Amino acid sequence: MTLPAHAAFIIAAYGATIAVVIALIAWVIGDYREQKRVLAELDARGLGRKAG
Amino acid sequence: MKLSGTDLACVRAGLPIFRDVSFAIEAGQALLITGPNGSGKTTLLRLIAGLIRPTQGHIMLGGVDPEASIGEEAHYLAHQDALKPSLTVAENLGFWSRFLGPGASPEAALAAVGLDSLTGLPAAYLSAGQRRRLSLARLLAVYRPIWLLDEPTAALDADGQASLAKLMQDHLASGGIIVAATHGPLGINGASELRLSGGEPGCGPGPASPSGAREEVRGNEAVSPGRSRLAVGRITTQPQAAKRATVRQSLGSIFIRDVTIALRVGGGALMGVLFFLAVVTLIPFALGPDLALLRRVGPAVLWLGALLASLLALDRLFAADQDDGSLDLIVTSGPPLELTVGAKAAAHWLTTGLPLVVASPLFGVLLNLEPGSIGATALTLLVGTPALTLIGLIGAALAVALRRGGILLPVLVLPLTIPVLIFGVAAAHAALGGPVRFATPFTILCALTLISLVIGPFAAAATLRHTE
Amino acid sequence: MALIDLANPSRFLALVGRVLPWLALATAIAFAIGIVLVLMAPDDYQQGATVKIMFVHVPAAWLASLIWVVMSIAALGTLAWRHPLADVAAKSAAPIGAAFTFLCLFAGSMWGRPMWGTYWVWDARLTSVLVMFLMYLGLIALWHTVEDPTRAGRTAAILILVGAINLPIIKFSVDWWNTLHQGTSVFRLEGPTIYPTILAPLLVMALAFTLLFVTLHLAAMRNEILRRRVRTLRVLQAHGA
Repeated sequence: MTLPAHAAFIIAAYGATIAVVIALIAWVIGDYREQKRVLAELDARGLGRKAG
Repeated sequence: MKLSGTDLACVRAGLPIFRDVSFAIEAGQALLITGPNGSGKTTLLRLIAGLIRPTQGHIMLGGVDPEASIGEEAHYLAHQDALKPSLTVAENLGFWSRFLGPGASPEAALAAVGLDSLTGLPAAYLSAGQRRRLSLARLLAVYRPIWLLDEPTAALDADGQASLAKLMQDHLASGGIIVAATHGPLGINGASELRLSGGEPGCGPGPASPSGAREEVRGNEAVSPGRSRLAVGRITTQPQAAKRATVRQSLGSIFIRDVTIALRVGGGALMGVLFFLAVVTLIPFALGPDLALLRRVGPAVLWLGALLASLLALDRLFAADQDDGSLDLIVTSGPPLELTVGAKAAAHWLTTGLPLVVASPLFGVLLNLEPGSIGATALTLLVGTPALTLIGLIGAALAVALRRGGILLPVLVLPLTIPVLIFGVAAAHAALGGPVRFATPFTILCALTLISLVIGPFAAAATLRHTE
Repeated sequence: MALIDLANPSRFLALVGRVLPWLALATAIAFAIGIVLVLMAPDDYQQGATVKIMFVHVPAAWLASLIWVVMSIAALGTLAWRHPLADVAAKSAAPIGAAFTFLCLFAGSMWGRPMWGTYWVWDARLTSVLVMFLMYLGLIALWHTVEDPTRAGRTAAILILVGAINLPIIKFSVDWWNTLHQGTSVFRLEGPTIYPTILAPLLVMALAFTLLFVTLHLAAMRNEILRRRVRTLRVLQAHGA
């Protein structure tokens, strides 16, 4: 298959798009997991220690 | 071990604080400094800690390693807590443990003060009493024979004060020394008292009061040889030697702490890059969008942006530590100040200067620079931004000494950075050909960085030491 | 369930949990269709295959401005109505907006180099988008620097509304000034001037990007609500001990 002219630029543009989209999805998912983890940890302590 | 002061006098900002103060305490004994507000209790403690020099008299520490200064043998607990709000309880104590000495496990110290359930909590969420307890944990985590405490019971509830009294008794029993400024009783048996009377500024031994500003040590301290002293424990036991951290360990702990804080919320990492981008964006508005012109001035624009971003980010470098009391501890109890300052500079460059270097090629594209020019400018920035940080240290130290920040400090420091700017831009231009070889200005730039590596930390350390 | 219920964070979280998988699915389908249309689209007479960069550059540009509009509405919610979720919405949108603005600039640069010979010019359209990128980053820096979310939210809301002045500048920059950038082709009163075989993939990709934004935004808002819960629990933890 003959590559179109300026293929590098087209690939760079779409490649950046994919990279940015993946990065956003990873950020959202990673942050979600982190917050859930901390909440679970605080929850365990909250139940473990009653007053004081 | 014997800690003594003879005929101490102190003048600050032209006003006499106290005169003719003398004391002597030995292992296992405690000295309480009392007196009204403004009588100089804190000043006397800071004098003993080595943060201030007395105008008269001297303090002596006998019986321990003669090379050691008092600061290295003592813990100083000031009004401020020396805690970083963005670090957790465990991280705060962990830092001081590593910085001050090969500490006992911080967990044991936290348990002793009742904070072991809060280890993961950022210090910003702590109440005043909890912060004070965390500061006390520092005294337990690393052993130092002398404790200098400034109103240690402040913010502690009754339980906290009782625990503190027990901790102090234990310390005395193992042969330690405590000097504490306090308004009220601390619950230690058999402590001597040194009462500072204060009085109006400028007063000498006044006619109305026979003692005036002259003080004496009172209490059960006066003994003659042969008479037994108060039994506060095994008084013949000498205290253990203070265990100190290796220089590398202390420097490493400061470096990691500063990088960690910069990367957390409120830390301000990458702010310099944003400012850099703003400057680069601003230039074409002023110069016009003439691409040929921008290509010619591009390296200079990048250098100016990096210079301004570096300098503006520096003035809180030491001021933040001064505000929370960490600077006092770092100056008195750690490795040589020049090295510590260098470690902080390294952390600052990593989080502020290096991002500028990494971002510069992208901004070079905006300024229409050709690839060779971009590469050369980035390389000169890589070598030159450390110089900017190191020279900027002087401004940061001045911000502490003058107790003011703002625009004044960059203004003072800018002239010193001019040689770096000149040779940085010259090297970037020379890389594209022309009469000057790249190597000539580039090696001079490297030399400037190496010189600043010496001058910056030394000048900054000298400035910090002479801050009152 | 009335709209007012969305103001309740817990109800909002439940809603997001139910809706998110469907949104993600819709996004994926839209992108799939869009990619197919992009591959099938004919090459341009003059530009060749490079014109296909337009299918990511233009939607990214639209979204960059759209997200600022969303943030502006949220900012009004914070300042005028004190809606509890308003500053959550604004804070969550900013990183997504910054990412799309960057994408717009980068893809445009990749398009500009082969077509017009330069990666960048300082013309009105490009410069105003770069300024918007700078403002997005400044907003993120603000939220990252101020510890208290409420105070940060109010300051940010003012900055968002002030920054909204940039939106008409971006839109009309190609009309008001002589620029290298192409004039308006789609959102015109007279109707679009683009050939349908190019218009179809463009609109589908724009829809896909928009669905992607909505999905990411709701997920990010959920994360922010959880983050604030953590903060509250930490405060309680400190007081309890």
